[in-house]
Amino acid sequence: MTVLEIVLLLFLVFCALAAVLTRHLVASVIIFMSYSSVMAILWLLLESPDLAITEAAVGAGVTSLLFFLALRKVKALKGVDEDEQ
Amino acid sequence: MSSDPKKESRFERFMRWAEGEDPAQDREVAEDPERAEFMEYLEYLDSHEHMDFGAYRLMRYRERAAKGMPRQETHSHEPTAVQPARGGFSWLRHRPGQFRRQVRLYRILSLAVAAVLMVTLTAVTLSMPGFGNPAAPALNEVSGRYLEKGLEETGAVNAVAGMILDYRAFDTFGESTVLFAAAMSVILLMRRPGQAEGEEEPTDRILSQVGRLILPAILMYGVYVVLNGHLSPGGGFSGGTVLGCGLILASLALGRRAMERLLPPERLTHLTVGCLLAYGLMKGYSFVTGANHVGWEIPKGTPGAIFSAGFILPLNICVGVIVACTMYTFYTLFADKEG
Repeated sequence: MTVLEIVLLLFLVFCALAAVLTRHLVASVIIFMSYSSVMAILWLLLESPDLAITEAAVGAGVTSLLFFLALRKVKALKGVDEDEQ
Repeated sequence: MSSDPKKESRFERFMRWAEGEDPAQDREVAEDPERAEFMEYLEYLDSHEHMDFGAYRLMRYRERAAKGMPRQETHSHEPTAVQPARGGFSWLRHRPGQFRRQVRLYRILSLAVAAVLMVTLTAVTLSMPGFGNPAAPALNEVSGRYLEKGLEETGAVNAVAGMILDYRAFDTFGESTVLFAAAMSVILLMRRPGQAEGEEEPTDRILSQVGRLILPAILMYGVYVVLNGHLSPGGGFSGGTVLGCGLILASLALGRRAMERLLPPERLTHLTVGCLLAYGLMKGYSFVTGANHVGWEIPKGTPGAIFSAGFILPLNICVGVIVACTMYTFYTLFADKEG
């Protein structure tokens, strides 16, 4: 196991804990995005590039987007819909 | 109001107190600080357009009072309707001070469940065979055959594409059907006729310009991943997701109206259904030719060429279109501000 993998795995654990423990919902989603990006790199290092592409597109892309849409639905996304008021 | 105050429901009495017309109240009603506080609360609810259950009841009460029928012909809120719990369920009744104990119990129990799960999962993970261990039970003749004969039998250079779109194509068919069913349920639940109008053009100039700049690259990469799925890493699902992200970005950068013209919801549905049917037909063909030695097999072509590997390329295209349309449909239906 190379140094890069160890650093990435530690960052992965840190991201997982931070995404759960942070109080700010938008920050939580952004941390989740970074988790997925690091996971994609790790899939690539584990020699499964198919999963890496899917993880980057689904985890960091579509899932976070749906999270942001959900946050806007429950009006937890501050500073975006301010122009309506 | 009512001639018999005892038969009045508790809610009615409360409402008359809140409106300041309770004759049974001795002190001066207008100077009641609790009532003033309550009216402040109601004004807060009014000003914030926030509706909770109490505000809803108040609104209905005022409507009834305006129509001149203050008594509500319902019996569900009579005081007699609140029966004490009978039988063996008396311990379920709420008592003062019980809630705090229940919360503490809940916390202890959830911590215990989490700890047990954690220990179990860690123990199982540690007892699993190591990565690449030749004695692992997952390393049986199935994966060996996939790796040894996959290129010969499916014609796909990318062994993963050969697995998910040839050996296990019905798995992928089921996944596509699940996506299709999810998209149809969301359309049924959330689509309202005539909602396409009233969507303004994009106002954020940075998003619009940068989106226009990187959009061709994203879409091109998605198409490449789909079309090259049997030759290089990728395939229908990942490429379709990239394409779906690109379509969502296009909707953000170019405006919803332009995307409505390009991809109206009906066209999305038609595309998805057409691709699903094409997938089913192509895999149904395998029923006829596959194991029966009929002889009408699809020519495999030269491994490595773009037109090779039998049906894997069109299957990849079908899956990619289904996934992209589903992602984009989810986005368009959930993105409406008044949803």
